[in-house]
Amino acid sequence: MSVDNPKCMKCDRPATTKITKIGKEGKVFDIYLCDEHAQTSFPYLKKTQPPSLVELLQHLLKQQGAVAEAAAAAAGAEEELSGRTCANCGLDYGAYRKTLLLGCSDCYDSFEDLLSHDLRKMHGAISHAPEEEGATRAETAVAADAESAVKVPLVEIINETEAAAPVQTDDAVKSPDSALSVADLRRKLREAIDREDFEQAARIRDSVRVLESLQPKEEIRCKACNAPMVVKHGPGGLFLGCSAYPQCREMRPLE
Amino acid sequence: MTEQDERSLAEFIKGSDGWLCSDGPLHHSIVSSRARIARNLGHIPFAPRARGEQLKTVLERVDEAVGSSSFFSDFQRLSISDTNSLHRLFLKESHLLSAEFEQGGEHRVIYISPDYRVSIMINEEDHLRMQCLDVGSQLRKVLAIIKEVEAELGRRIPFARHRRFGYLTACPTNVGTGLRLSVMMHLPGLVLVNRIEEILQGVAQYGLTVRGMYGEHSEHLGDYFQVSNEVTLGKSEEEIVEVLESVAKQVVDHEMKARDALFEQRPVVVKDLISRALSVLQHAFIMDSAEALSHLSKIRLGIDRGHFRPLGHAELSRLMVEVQPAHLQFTTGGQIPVEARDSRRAAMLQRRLGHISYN
Repeated sequence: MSVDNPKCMKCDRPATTKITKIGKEGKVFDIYLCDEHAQTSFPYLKKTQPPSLVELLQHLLKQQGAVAEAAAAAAGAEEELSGRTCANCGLDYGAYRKTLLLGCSDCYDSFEDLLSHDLRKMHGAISHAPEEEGATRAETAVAADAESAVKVPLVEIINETEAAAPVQTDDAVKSPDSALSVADLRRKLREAIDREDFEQAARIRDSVRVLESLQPKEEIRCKACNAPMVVKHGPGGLFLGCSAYPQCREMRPLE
Repeated sequence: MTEQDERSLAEFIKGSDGWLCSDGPLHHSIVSSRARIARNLGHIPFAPRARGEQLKTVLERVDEAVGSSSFFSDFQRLSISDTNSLHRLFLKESHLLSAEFEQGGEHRVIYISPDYRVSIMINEEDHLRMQCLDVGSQLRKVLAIIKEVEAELGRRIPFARHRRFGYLTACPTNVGTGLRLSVMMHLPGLVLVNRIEEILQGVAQYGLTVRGMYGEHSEHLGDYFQVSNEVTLGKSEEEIVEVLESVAKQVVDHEMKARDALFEQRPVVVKDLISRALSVLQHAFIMDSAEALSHLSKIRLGIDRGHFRPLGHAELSRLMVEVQPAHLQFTTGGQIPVEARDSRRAAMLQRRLGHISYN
């Protein structure tokens, strides 16, 4: 999706409002919404009466302060990071910023976390995994726009689920109830978008990509019921669980 | 280089626009299609940063891969350092060689297929830039051919690929598929009805860029527009083809409607415009390339309606290449100063169009 023509993250209509939010650790991210969803999600935007000039100026000054703080933080971070160099060719990150030319294939590893901003501007995407069929536009928008997307280990999201999960009494070799598959994470992603927790949605989106990348290339079938096995993350870590769970709780190690 | 070698090189280069002579689908508006893939070897610095011996290593590895495959047995190998600026400009005008390679440079080689449709540049901005061209609207065909070239080389050279970013390139604008698909469109109708800006803005909304005939600074030259995908990351090759094909088709529809509208609503004005263009081309004694392209562009409008038989679209596209500086100098005997070129150009146009009448 081109950010020149943004769509509302909740419906497909053209976005009319862009809200810049500052999440954890001072990371800045943008949310695009149409009129209707902007006013329901952010009631202070409700146009009941046009603001007075004084109110407008006060609001602008507050916003400018927040944005300036975030920009200063980003600039400070960038200055600190410009000393980073590629382990292979020795290209300095600061030198890359000037020419926008990388030095070698290893630069993509050396500067992996730093390239997201440029890639999002250039391509509207930060990785090459083509979108899974059925992925919603809202999920795409979160992935494209959530500047606070940090590679959070799956375990953090699992821990939150486990805290709410029933106590496991079954045999340990069967698929635990608290384990999460890609499908489960996608459900959680939709829930996060629905309750407008965009920062969490961005974290879940990253976890989806990690889990998807671990799915074995060749399809593995369940020995008990012949349904496909899918990668899941449970209390003990990663494993292959039967996709027919909870009817079938077969599992096997992920090699 | 011996004299014999120089003659062979010149003969080879002269044939490089031969592919434009044939007719292609939607040729009245889509002059040509191109698929370009960028690939690099792992760990060796990309060409802009590599030292001489590193570029030499890349060249040796690619030469070995090409040499060991019967797929490339009839390809011609040209070392850029063996060419002069006129050779390179000619190949650039034929769209086989990039602006970057036109500058010359050491350890740079181009392989060209016998039908002049496929070229492989080594040590351009990326270690490998492979491209396939064809006439008219043939995106799927040129993509399929260049994928074969890529597969053949990929069996022998491990291309640098990242688990997250796909195929790696010197500039992140190409990372992912490394695929740039483009069509060269001729849109004199839309320019004349003043709708070109509106259409180009519409095209940009699909994530496509529009450039002129030879890149960013040649907009509107001859009413040629090169439309290509901007995004290479996070999209499959199929998605890229689909979007470009469908947008190009829509633009062609708009162009043809504009041409029809011109003839239906302002027939006398349009006939006058085209007739004057032909007259100037037939009778001028001095003509620079920009002016020639501008007049030739108007002639396209008349060819659709058969006004200039036997002149057809392929012949016109060919002429629009032949009026360009290197082509002109090559076909009329060699490097000549600008003033002399302008009169040679005018003389060539008189010869080629003298027998054409507006019927």
